[in-house]
Amino acid sequence: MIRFKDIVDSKCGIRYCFEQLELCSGVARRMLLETCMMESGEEIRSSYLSMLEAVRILDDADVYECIIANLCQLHDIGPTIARLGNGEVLDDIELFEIKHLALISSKVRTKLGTLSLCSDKSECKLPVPDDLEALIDILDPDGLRINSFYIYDSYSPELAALRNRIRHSDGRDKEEAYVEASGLEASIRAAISSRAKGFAERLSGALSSLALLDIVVAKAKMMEDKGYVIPKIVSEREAGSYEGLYHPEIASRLEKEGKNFQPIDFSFSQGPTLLVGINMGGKSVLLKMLALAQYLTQFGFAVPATSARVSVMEDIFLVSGDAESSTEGLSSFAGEIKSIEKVIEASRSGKKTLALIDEPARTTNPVEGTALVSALTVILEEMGTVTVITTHYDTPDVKCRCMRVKGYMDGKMDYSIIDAGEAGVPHEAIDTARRLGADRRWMELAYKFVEKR
Amino acid sequence: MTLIDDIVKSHSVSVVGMEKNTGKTECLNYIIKNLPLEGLTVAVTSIGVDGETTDIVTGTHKPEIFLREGMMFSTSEKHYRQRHILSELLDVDDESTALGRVVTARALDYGKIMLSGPSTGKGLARWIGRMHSFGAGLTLIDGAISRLSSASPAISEAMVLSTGAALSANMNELVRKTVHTVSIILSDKYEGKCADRLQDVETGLWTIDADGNAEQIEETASALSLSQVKTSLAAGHKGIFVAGAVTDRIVDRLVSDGAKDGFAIVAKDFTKVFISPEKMLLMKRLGLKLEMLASVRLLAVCINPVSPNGMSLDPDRLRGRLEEVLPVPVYDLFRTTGGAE
Repeated sequence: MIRFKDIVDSKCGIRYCFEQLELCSGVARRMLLETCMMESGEEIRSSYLSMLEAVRILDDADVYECIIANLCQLHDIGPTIARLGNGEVLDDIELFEIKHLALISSKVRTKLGTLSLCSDKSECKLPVPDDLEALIDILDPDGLRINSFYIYDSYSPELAALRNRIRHSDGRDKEEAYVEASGLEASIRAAISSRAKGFAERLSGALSSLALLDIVVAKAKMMEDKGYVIPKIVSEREAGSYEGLYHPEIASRLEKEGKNFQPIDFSFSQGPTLLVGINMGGKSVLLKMLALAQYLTQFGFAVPATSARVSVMEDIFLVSGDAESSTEGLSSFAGEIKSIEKVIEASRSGKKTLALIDEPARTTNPVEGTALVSALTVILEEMGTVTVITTHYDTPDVKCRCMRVKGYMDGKMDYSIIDAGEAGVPHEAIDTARRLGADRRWMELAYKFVEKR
Repeated sequence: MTLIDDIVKSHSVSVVGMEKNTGKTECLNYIIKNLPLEGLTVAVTSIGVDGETTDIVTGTHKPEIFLREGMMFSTSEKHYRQRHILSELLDVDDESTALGRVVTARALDYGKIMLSGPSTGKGLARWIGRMHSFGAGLTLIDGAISRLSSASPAISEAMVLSTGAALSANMNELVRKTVHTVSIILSDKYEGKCADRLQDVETGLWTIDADGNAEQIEETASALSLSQVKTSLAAGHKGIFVAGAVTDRIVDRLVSDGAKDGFAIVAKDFTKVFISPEKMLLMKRLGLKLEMLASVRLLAVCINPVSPNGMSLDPDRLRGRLEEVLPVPVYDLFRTTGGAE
């Protein structure tokens, strides 16, 4: 079971999307982090339906403002609700918290009602909090529907009389009346708590409905603001594809530098795809984008692309060498082998797995490196694991789909992914290094060494 | 009384004591008691823990804050539960203090309460804004200079300073110390080009050149022995901004490095200045200026002639002496109210 918090710091950069989400409450933030990754197409489709309904909230400025203003006041009062459910006597602050939640819940419910989304509750995909009017009645005996609370005079005529006595007396009499009033207030608190006890479950339901609503509205807003798309969930037989896929974090960084991110089209195949291409051709970024889009889909977010067809996975791996395991004290090679081991293990256990592996075995000698990559490709093919492996090694003995980055065309980098054809791995490393301004003598010698071979 | 008139004209007023037991709480109670409440909603809080029934340091009796019907107040959950007042809860804040979350309520009757509000500068600024959004026309802050609280009363628009025998039993000494503090509070506001930029700076030492550009030279103000200050002085820089405490050592260092006439030492606000009267005199003689990033309007000085150990000064003489030398009104609220409540 993968939770959002487990992958929020994944190298694919999903934290950026998380931080861009305009959540109103800490409750929603915590809830999202605890959310489990969806593994059924039905579940994902249904979550997108509720997001589409949330778009209707965005369209009505009045409804949106009201719902956001209320969600921003949401506090995590789980412990208070639990105390209420256990039959404990709540104090004024806790009773205020409960009344506050019930009022928010009621306002949001009414606003959602104006959208005529909830006339038939079974059809409504949006999280709608339960009706808590009966609870509000208990905590608002004067029917003011104002967000405030104290032990009101109207709870007991006796209390009202005592308070009057406090106001109009001095010294000992005042003190006596005060003590008496305090005792009476305590018994009223106990009575209110026991009457409210039965609502504990509905309150906690309302709290999670409101948090869920916060999340789904924020997701819808992100989709609308950024122009993301809802992917089509495709069957297991189809491996999935993207058009105009981009990486929001890198794109925004480039934009600040006055550059543009070139969106990429890519389609998976059943089994492995080898991706070759020159250095700095965007291969690693592609893997990150593919992982990001997959996670976004399975956590119910829209995807940064112009169109997307996504096949649901049970396990997703992004293996990239950049010092992954240095904190565990492993060498980069050892860390990589261990990570790939996990991919194989997951695939072998029959889990539907997406493996995105960036330049495996790149830190070892090219002879064995090539052998390791070839063999890895073969076993992933055998298990039918949807895989993209980027590499600089030539693996002519392996029969699998091979794609490459288009590369330099008329002095400009084209990041498009095309069929590699018969050409194999392009040999442009020295050219690229030269373009980067590497030492001339160094480059000249390098050319000579290549020629000698 | 003009003190109340001046307070009513302000949006936010903090009451600050020069020392514990200088009559700050009495001063606040006096203000609360005499404010006209018709058409004016008042909100009260304290920076950090305050309103203890017994003074933790000296063990003497310490009055609580008395509130009138209709006033709003913010205090910690703990102190709200211990309140001795009928009040209606309006808000529970998410931000937590050492005594729990800060709650806001409206007094429904006359009664007393211990106040312990926001403890950070940002929290206090947010509180002032929040109270105004709840409809408060005036916010009152029980402030402190020498307390362990990062919230500064300088965030408020205006201020009342209380001084008294608890500060010094010697009248000359008391007058001298009070005049010194008032002169720091009344320092000019720094209006240079980089003022906005320095507003959010929390640490470090910054030099300010002749054009008003600030450049950070050190992460911490304690690293003053470094030669960079000297270099910047040699380069004709016109001032230095100290985000932390401005101490005698800093003044000494700047003087020995050659700070000259017109050079400005800029502090965050008056609570960060710990320069002794002697060093202030030296600065004055050399033409060095002391300026504040955030300045606060001092409305008045209130005196408490009685100290916690029973020492009492002649209130009329004390008031007379202070009135002679201070540019703000001086009030003896104990005389007016007939002593502490």
